Amino acid sequence: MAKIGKYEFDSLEQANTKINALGEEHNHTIVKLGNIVLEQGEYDEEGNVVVEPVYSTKYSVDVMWIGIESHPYGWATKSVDVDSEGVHKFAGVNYQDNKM
Amino acid sequence: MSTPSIALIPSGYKEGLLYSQLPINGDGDLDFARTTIANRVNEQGVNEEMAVNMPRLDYSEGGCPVLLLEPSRKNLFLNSEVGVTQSITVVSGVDYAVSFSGNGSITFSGGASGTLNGTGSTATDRVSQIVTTSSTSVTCTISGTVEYVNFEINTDDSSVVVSTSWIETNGTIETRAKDISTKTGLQNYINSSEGTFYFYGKALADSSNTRYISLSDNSNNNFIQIRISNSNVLQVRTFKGGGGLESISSTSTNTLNYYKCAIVWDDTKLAFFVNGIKIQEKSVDNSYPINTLDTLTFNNGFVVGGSNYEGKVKEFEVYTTAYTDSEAIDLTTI
Repeated sequence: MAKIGKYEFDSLEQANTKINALGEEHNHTIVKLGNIVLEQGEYDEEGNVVVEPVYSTKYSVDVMWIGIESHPYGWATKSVDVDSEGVHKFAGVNYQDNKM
Repeated sequence: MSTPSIALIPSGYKEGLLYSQLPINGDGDLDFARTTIANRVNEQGVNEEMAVNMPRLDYSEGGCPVLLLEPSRKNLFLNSEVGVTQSITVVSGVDYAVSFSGNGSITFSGGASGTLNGTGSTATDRVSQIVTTSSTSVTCTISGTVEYVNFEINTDDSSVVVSTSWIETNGTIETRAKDISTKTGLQNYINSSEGTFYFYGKALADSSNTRYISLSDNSNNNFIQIRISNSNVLQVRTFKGGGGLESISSTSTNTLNYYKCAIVWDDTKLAFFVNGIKIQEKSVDNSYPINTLDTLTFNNGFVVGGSNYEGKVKEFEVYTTAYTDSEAIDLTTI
């Protein structure tokens, strides 16, 4: 059974610490989203930045957990609840119906 | 030649299962898992969505289908069925794989440069290119017909070396999970004391990841593995009773092309054959106690999620006898 969690860490390093603590013996799908764009930037026809995008200060990670029903140790405090699917989804699997 | 105890040519499937031809009682059917939907090119040559846990028999190369086993990937290109010009937020200094079908083109600007030109309108006319980013935004300018677009990267934002199947997106980035195939309880069909393990397939790409196909006892104490090393060398590796690692390498095999290989083992030898050539025979006791080997996995055989095979599978067979040299050469001749 798959459950989906969305998380915000203070930094990439903090996210990596939690991810590495899971070890390698799992089939969870961990997706690093980074500092997501809160306000889109503007670009000219050459792709040059006209208006810089505004990024979140938090480092976002989505996880599809396999075979567990609750957040692993240390993840619950970083969990966020999103009203929609958010900026990322797992193909064909609805976050709202499968959230951790 | 004897009849295999397990034989699988990808042809029949249902959710969570890939049917084997032998044994006929279903004991050799492979369990299959993928926790997201995914796309394949079907027998009509068009992209088709496959449900969660549905194996993908892929026809993108024409002819008979192959079992497609891909890693997890995320597609950053939004509304990817019909490409429209857009700017994509990326990680600087990373290799992304861009691919599409159609006669149009994608021109990269901002944090990347160059143009990827299409060659045809069908799903099998897919073109791809690795794009190395130099800043945190890449603009993809679409010209002409550009469909089924991937701007893909590994889920941990590490570089990719090859494009994979189309990942449909709408208003958000989407991730396709990896394909996983295993089977336990095969002790009645694998003769641990002697046997022959035959595989016909190819790798998705050269990669720094080690990839395995294994017969094992579901632990790291006993296994027979076909391995593509992190330097892309085709190898056989065996381990018995928690010790005595044996290994044979076929350094000249290009695993990006379809190859046929066979491992032959008994109490006097371990031999490896590739594409009709005997690579090496070692005079060792490679016989396992009865009923030791009972698991077939498309990974290293002892770590859940460990070192999955990433490639295309045309066929595999397990025999309960150790083939002679001439039989193994016949079996593996392309």
